[in-house]
Amino acid sequence: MSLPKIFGLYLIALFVLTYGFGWAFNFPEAFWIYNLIVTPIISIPVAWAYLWAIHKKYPGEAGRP
Amino acid sequence: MISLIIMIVWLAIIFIVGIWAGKVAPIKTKEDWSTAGRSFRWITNYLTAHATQLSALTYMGFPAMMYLYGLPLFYAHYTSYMLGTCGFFVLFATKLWRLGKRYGDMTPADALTRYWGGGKWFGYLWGALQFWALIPYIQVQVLGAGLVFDLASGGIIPVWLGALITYALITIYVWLGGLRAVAWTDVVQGAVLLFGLWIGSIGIIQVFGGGIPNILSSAAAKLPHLMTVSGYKGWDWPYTISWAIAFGAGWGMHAHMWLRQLTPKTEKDGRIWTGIIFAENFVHGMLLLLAMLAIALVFPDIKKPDLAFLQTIEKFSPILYAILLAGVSAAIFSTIDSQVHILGVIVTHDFIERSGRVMTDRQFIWANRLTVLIAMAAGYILAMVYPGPLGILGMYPAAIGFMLYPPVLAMLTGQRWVTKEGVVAGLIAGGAAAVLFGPGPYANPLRIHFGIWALVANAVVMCIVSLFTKTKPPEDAVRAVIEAGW
Repeated sequence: MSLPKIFGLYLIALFVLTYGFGWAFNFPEAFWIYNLIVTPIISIPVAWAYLWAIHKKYPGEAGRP
Repeated sequence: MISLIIMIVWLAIIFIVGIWAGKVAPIKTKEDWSTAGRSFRWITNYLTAHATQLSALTYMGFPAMMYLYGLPLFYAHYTSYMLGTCGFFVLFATKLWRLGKRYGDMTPADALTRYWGGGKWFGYLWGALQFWALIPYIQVQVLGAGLVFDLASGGIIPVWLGALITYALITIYVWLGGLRAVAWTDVVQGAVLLFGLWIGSIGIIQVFGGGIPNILSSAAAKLPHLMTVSGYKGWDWPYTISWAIAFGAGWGMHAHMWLRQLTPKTEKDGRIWTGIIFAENFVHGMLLLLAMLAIALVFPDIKKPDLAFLQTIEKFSPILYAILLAGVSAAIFSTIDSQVHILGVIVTHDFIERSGRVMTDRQFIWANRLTVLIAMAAGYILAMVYPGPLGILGMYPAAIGFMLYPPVLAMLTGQRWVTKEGVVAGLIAGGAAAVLFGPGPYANPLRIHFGIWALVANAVVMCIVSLFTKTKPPEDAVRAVIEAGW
């Protein structure tokens, strides 16, 4: 499976997890722990790692039409 | 009075920067006007993109909703904006940049029309949809600018005059400098508006909230309805989730945000700005939420929640309050100037040039300038004459943007089976669903936001009609998208 497909599915999974977690554990502490701490701590470094990896895979002229 | 003085100084700075951008690199070609020669480094591209995206809603609308509805609003808007709109930028901005550089793309219609084999009416349809999404947005922002002037001057500058000043300043610098003037003013404005959001929020968190742990524990004890999805004031689970998805993901489909994916100088610049907007938007949203929870704890009975963030800052620092008012005007200016600029490009490029009329660079630039003048005038007149329905119309921009995803994703992932007839039928069905289930008697059936209904209608009709029709994308167009890489 290609890297962009994995990252796209990861974003969708994070969407589902965030809302699924919120719905299942709908009390104040769980909610803010997940939304203010867990989601950004997971997603922001992963987005940067994806950008780095995809830039290595398709650097400069490679892949450019 | 100090607010008014700072506001005047601020507007003078913006005006000088805008004029300067037009003077140092005079607009000579269509590319200069439309994409600033695709010359922006990552910091410029990030600041112009983010300043364009942040608007009056950032300082007034969303804080008010956080004050009223609490964490569900943050959850709904900021989390899903990061995963939706910013996720789209991270995934597709470089592909769009490569295609744009190769073919000279300026608008969404360029890439989409080329993919499905050309056709002027197909291009007109995409241009018209962008008008539908953007005109209500401009109306709301022009009105918001008038309100900020009224607030900063203590009523000395009425709403109509403030909106008129906004109209004049933006028209002049966009007229002279095209996208370069828009971007350079956005850089200054982006820096001020982000500074205001961060410093203002941190100030409120410390002064009124007593720090983050105290805010969270106090809010959980005293305001539990703001810390859960409780159905409070209609924000139950179906509405929260569906509102979140439509609002969070819809903004990236607007033509002025699409253009930001085409303007970086290099691929590396194009990747870095998407990573920054992915992270920063979440961080300032988090600070803003904590600030609004602190305000809800200390001042539970604010009559005008739209002004809660600004007026609370005034209580502890009049100077910071004045700077924040400049930040609000920055947010509004940077949104309007980008929108009128892209509407000019859509009229001249997507409608006039696509109709077969060949325009010289000079004719193109002048046609754009006149469109800017007319679009701003339309926004001003509509905002003054029909201020009531603006709130209703203002519901549409994100929902219409969200509705456009199915054909855009089909194009960007090189789907061969989706036909042009399928795309047209889907867009018509999606538009009809947005009107039917938008604000009005049949609004948001089953408590699901109408943007979701519009997208589902578009996707379903697009898929079904594609199965029975034949105008598939030409092989060379599909290959170009695939070869563009990621």
